[in-house]
Amino acid sequence: MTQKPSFEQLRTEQDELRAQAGYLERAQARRAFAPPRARIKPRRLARWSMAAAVLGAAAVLALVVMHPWSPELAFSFGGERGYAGAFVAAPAEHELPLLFADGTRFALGAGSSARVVSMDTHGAHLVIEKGRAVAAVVHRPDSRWRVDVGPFQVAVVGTRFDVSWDVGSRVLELRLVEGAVRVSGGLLTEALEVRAGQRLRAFADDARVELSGPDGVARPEPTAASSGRLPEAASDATSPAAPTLAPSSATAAPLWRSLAAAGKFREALAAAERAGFEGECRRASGADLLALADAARLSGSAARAEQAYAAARGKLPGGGRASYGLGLVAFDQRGDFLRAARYFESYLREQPGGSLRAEATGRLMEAWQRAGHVSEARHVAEQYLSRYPQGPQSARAKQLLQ
Amino acid sequence: MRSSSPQPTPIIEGVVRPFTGSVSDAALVTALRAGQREAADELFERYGNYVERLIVRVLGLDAEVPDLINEVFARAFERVEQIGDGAALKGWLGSIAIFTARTFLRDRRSRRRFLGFWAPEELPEVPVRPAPVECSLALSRTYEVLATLAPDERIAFALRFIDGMSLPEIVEVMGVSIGTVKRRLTRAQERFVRAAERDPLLHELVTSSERWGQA
Repeated sequence: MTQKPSFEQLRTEQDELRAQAGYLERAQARRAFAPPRARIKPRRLARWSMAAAVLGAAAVLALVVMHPWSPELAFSFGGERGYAGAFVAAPAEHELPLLFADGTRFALGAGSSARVVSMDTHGAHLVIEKGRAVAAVVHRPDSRWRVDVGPFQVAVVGTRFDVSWDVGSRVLELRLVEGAVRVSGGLLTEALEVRAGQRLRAFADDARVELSGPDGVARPEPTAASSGRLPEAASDATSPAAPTLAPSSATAAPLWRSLAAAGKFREALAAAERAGFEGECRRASGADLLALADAARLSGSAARAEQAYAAARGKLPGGGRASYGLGLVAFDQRGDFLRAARYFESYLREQPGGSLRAEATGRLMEAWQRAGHVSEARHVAEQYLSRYPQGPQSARAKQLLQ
Repeated sequence: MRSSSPQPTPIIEGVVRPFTGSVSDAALVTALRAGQREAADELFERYGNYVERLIVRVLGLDAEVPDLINEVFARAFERVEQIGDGAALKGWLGSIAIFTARTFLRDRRSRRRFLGFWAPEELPEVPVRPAPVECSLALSRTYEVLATLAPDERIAFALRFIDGMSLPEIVEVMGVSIGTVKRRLTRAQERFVRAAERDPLLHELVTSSERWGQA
C-alpha cells in the first residue's frame, strides 16, 4: 500500500536514520577539541602548521622528483587533489586537465565531465560522462588504462588520442594521434583496434560504426545490432528486469511503451516527457510503469526512473519488482550502496516468491560489501551460497567467507 | 542525557570548584571558561544530540556531519567568553551550529560553481533499515530540491518544515529578524512549489503540510 508522506513523517524518518547513522559516536571518536586553556594557542598552532606544511611539501616534491611513478598514481585538477570516485566537470569556458602522477594527462574539454572510477599502480579507469577529452597516456610496459565512453570501453596502453561522447546523439568519436587502443562494448561484437591516424565513429543508436584509416578508406565493422538494440538492452532482456511489452487494457497504447519494448530507451523517455511524465505515471498500469522506469534507468535518468518505479510500486501487488529497480538505480547510478541495500532488502521482504530473488540477494551482498559492511555482506553471502550454490555471485560469496 | 540539577553547585567569584557534571548551564559555562576538561565532555553529552539534529536538518544525511559537529563545539570553546548568560547556552550553541552549517553550504556551493566538483563523500548517506520506500524517496527528493536553494533559504525551510521549529526559535538560531526569516521562507516555499509541480511525491508533501500556508 502506498503511504503518502508528510513533513512530519520525513522528520521521524530522518531522526531514525540519524540515530542509526551514528554521527555522534563518530564525532566523539574524532574529537580533538578541549576547553580553551587546554589547547595550544591558535597562533602557535598556525606557525607549527605552516612549518609542517612547508616540510611536507618539500618531502612530497623530493618524492616526486626521485620517484616519478607514485604507487598510488594520484592525480590533480585545478589545484585540487583528486581521488578514486571523484566526479570532475570542466567549466563551461575552458578545459580542465587531469594530471596523473606518471605524467599522463586527460584534458577535459570545456563543459565536459568525467568520473575517475578507480586507480592503481598500472593506470586508472575513467568514465567520460559527456563531452570531450584529449588524452596523452604515458607508455609503460605494465600500464593499463581504461576509458568508458557511453556503452563503449577504450583500453589504452600508451597513446595520444582525442575522444568525445555526444550524449544527445549518442555518438562516440575517437581520433588516434599516436599508438593504438582497443575499443569494445556497445554494439561491437569483438574488440576493434584503432591505430594512429585513424578515426572511429560509433553511432550507438543506429548500430553503426565508421573507421576511417589514414588512407581515407572507411571500413564498416561488424555489429550486433541487426535488431537495432543496444547490448545493454539486449543483455537486460535476458534478465527478468528487462523492459517488457506488458499487456494493457488501454486501447490507445502510449508511444513510449512501444519504444521501450523496442529497446529505444532514450526515445521512450523523451516520448513520455512529451506526453507529460507525471500524468503518465498516474495513468499507466503498474507493468507499463516498470517498463517506463527501466527505460529511464537505462537511458541514465535516475530521477525519472525512481519516480516511475515509485509509481509502479503503488500499483502492483507487493510493489512488484519496483524496489529491485530502485536498488539498481541506487547501486549503479547513484553509487549509494547503503540505500541500494535497503531497496534490495525491501524487494526480498515484499516478494517472497519473486523471480529476482537470486539477483536481489547477490546485489544485496555486493551492496553491503561495497558500503564497507563486511559482516552483513558475509551474512548474506552465507544465505546466497546455501540457496544458490551455482549462482553467478557464488564466487564473490565464497571470497567473502574466506 | 543528564538533566540539570535543581540546586546547582554554587560558584564563588574567582574560585572554580571541581566540576561534578550535575550543574546548571550557567555553572557549566563557568567551568568551560576555567578550562575544565570534564566540562567539555558534559557540554558534548548535554547538547551533542541537539547540535547533530540541527546540522542534519540543514544538510540532510551527509558524511560530513561528524566533523561539523566537532567544528561547532570547537567554535563554541573558542568563543566561550562571549556567552553573556549561561542560561542561553542552548540557543547560543544552536546559532553556532547554524552558522557552521551555512558556512559549509556556501563553501560547497562555491566549490561546485568553480569546478563542478562533487566528491563521493558529499553524496547523501543513508543507513539501512526497513521503511516505506515513499518516505525515503520523499526525504531524498526534498534534499535534492533544498540543494538548489540559497543556503539561508535552505536553512529557514529545513528548520521550519522538516524540524518543525516555531518562528521565534528560528529567529534565535539564525540570528536575524522575524521579517527576514519570513522573507526567506516565502522564497524557499516558492521554489519548492515549483519543484513539486513536477514531482507527485513532493506535491503530496506540500498539500499535506498544515504549516505550509502559515509560514
